[in-house]
Formats: sequence, structure tokens, C-alpha cells
Amino acid sequence: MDEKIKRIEKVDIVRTFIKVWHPIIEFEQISIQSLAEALRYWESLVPLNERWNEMTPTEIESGKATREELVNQRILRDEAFSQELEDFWQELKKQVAQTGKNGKIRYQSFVYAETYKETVNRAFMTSFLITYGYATLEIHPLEEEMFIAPCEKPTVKTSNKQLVSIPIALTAEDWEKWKREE
Amino acid sequence: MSKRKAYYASKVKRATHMLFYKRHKKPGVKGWELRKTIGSDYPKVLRIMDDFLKPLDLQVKTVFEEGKHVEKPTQEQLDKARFLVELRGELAPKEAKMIGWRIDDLAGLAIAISYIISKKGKSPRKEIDELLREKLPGWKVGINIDRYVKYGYLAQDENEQLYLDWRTSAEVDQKALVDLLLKAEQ
Repeated sequence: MDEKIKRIEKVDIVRTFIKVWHPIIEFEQISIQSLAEALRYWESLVPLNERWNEMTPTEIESGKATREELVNQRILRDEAFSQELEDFWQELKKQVAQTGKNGKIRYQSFVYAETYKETVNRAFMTSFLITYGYATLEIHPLEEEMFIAPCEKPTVKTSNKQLVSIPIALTAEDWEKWKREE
Repeated sequence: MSKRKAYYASKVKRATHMLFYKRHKKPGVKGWELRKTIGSDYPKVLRIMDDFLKPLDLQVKTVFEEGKHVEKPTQEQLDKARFLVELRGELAPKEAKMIGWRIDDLAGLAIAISYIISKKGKSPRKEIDELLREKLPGWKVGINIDRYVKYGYLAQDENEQLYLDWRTSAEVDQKALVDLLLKAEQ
């Protein structure tokens, strides 16, 4: 068949194709309701200069804290962070081996946990796995799906490709929805 | 209007809004979204909607996960499927131009899809690039392939292999395309 494709005239292939092509219909339209909603939002929106004023940092008197105090306040962890990251990487590899497909696992399946707090912590750790080259993030924007694939060894950036930051929203509503569906 | 008719008329109206208007990046609505908004009888509501669309030459299309055809879908398969409204019949060549496609671009898409089918579902981008360059200006070929990928007709992996993507599964009757091309050969 590929020989035929190479020989066929442009007009003929179009004539053939439109016989079997059923394009999707979709509309984009502003409605009176959405305009009214947008106007309500605009009216309630605080001017930018006022919002920026609110965010002006206040001066705080600085002092010293011991390591124990930071651990108690959960700013530092008992376990060395690199060790914790290493354990988390092993957990990712294990989960991919057990429930993943093609060496990867859905972001939600790996990150979402029993509690929202734990989910946030796992998302935080996952971001370090990706940043430090222990795993890669695969995004399928059209399907609105994300996958994480663990690397065999931590990879160091060697190419000249531009690094990008990917913000991933993790709202309590999303987590609750996931929990309900689980 | 009977109570039952009014009940379904209202549900069909809601389903029409959901299926026609863009809600996500990708067109259409997932089954679970329809179940949540319309109720568990959404497959029946879509059948009624499909009947209404028939005289307008439109249809409700169900795209199952991974583009597979499912004869008797389970509730779970329906919930995971994507529902879309698409053209039921055929477009005339002039109409294709009206919906935003130049004949060159459409021919390039048709060739790319047909070539990938002939290569059992995947092909190096380089091969399709070379094939299109035979009849399309070189500067346009890369732009066109990127456009086919962006729209969801083709997908490209990190090894520059091209595959058929979700929109081809939704819009193109691949079996009929192969049959027509083979018949044209005879």
C-alpha cells in the first residue's frame, strides 16, 4: 500500500480521505451568563496596587534556632534528605514494577495518598526526584495525563536542552475527587 | 408534553450543551462526566440526541480508551470513553476548505495517516517528512507535521516515531480508508 500512497495524486488522496473523514464539531462562544459572571469577578477584584501592598513583607527580628528546634517544627527532618529521596525513588521503582506500564506510572496513582497532607508531601518529594534526575515526567497535554518514569540511575543533565519548570496544581478538591473515585 | 418526554428533553438539552461546547483542551466529554451531570441513563439520552442529530448529518461518536472498537461496552468502559459530536456523512472537497483546511494540508494529513497505517501503526518522522516533501514545499512540511501532532491526529515519541493519535481514531474510519486506497490501486 505504501507504493500506492507514493504514486497517488494529491487531489485523489483528498477525494478518498474526505469519504472516510468525520471531523469533530465543537463550539467556542461567550454567553451572556459568562459575561455577567466575568463582570461580577471584575467588580470584586481588588486593584493590583492594593493587592501588592498586602504582600509587602514585614521586617522580622532574626535569631538563631537549633537543629532540634527545626526538626520539632518540621522544617528539618530527622532523616537525611538525600536518604529519604533515595528511599522514595526505590518506592517509585517498586510501584512501577508492580502496577506501572511501559516503565511508567500515572502521576496521580503514585502521588495521591490516604490523606491530603501525605499527598502534598509526596508531590514535594516527587518534584525533587524529577529535578535531581531520579525520574522523568511525561506530560500528555491533550489527554490531560501525566506519567512518572523512574530512571535506572540518577541522570545528570548533559544536553543543551532548555530546562523548564512545570507547575502541577494539587488542590484539596482534586484530592477529594480522587479519593471519592477510589 | 408528557412528564417522561419532558424529562428526556431536558436531559438531551443538557447533553447537547456538554458535547457541543468546548469544556477541556480536548473536545468532547468523558462518560463519567455525563453520568455525574445527566445521570446513569446518559447512554439512552445520547441515543435520543443522536436521533435528533441524524437529519442534520451529525452523530454522537463514542471513542473508547486507546481507540479500540468495543461491541458491547460495560458501564466502566462507557464511563472512561469520550463522547463527541461529529459529521455523520461526507464532506465535499469545497467544504473541506470551508472548515479551515487547505487542500495541500489535508492531502499531507491523508498521506501521513495512510502511510502510518501501511507501516502497521508507526513510522519514523523522517520517512513521512521525505514523502511529503515530494509534493509539498519543504518549508511547509515540518510545520504541517507539527500541526497534525498539535491537533491530535498524530503523536510523536522521543525517538521521533510518529503514531496515529486520538483524533484520528475519533474522526477517521481507518478500515474504510485502507479499503478505498486498495480499490483505487486495482
